[in-house]
Amino acid sequence: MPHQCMNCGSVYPDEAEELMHGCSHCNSTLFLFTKDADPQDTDTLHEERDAVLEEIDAFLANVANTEDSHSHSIVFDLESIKIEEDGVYAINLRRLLEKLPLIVELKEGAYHIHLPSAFTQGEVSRFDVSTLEEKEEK
Amino acid sequence: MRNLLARLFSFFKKQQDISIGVYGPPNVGKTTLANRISSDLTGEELGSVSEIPHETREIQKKERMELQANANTLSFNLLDMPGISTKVDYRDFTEHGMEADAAKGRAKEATKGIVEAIKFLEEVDACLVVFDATEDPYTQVNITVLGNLEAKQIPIVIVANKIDGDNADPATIEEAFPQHPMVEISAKEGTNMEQLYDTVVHKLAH
Repeated sequence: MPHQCMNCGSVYPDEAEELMHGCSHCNSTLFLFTKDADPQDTDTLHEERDAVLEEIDAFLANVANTEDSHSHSIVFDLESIKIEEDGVYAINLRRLLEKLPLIVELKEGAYHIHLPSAFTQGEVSRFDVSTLEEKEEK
Repeated sequence: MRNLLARLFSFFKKQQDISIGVYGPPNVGKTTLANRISSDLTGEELGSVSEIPHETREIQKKERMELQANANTLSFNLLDMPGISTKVDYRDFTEHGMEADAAKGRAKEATKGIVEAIKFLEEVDACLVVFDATEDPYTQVNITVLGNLEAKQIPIVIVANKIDGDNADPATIEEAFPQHPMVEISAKEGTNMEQLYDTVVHKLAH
């Protein structure tokens, strides 16, 4: 079973001297005990990845060939509203039109989930962007 | 007998409860149209109009209005919605001379208004979707909102407004969304309003 240096990623076999005295490349003494990669598992993963890529390619080709391709878009975003800067809001209409909780991205990677909107629709209309910002400032 | 009375009661209740929402992007003339309808039918206007986008940031409601065409009568509440857009930028307001702080406050209110307008789609029974006939109709807002209304099976009348504008081209709107009845109007001038009322009653009164 190999040992991988947690600092630089160099791999050493069992009973290697570096495991006692430190990595010959970076002198780190922290090693991760790793499992031997099974060649069969790797093949299966590659096959699955290729199948997914083929599926995405086929979907994109299909969208590009349709007459109304301009109305299609592939959306991976999470947020309903993104506060780009103070006073500038980007609104994800598709996300807002879905019956999902409101999610506001306050800054890169920081999200506020408006929980009342996840449970009762009536509460959504009371959503207030300014109160979210005040909470973030505190 | 009781069954008949219940059906009659539910018919009149349903007739009184019809809510018509006025939807569309900012600055297409939704409030000018709502004001025109409201003053034609009640003598009172509904909200203020401005060249600065997002003037309507809260839903404005006028209740108990009545339209008649041929032998049909339609009782309805009119809801003037905030304009729906995919971006609200305070700089669009400062361009019109507004102070930065006031513009940022307006941007927050406008964003909240968009959320309210979209969530209120659950409450409306029919929609007047307003387009600016001088602008390209193939926008993300128009396609997304109309697609969602169709999916919810909410009756739609498309209103091609601003036909008094120099570059007005309502035929492009009809071409883009031929599946819905369309009326070409100028809410500002009051052109073709009778045709709009006839179309609405024909589409919604049963």
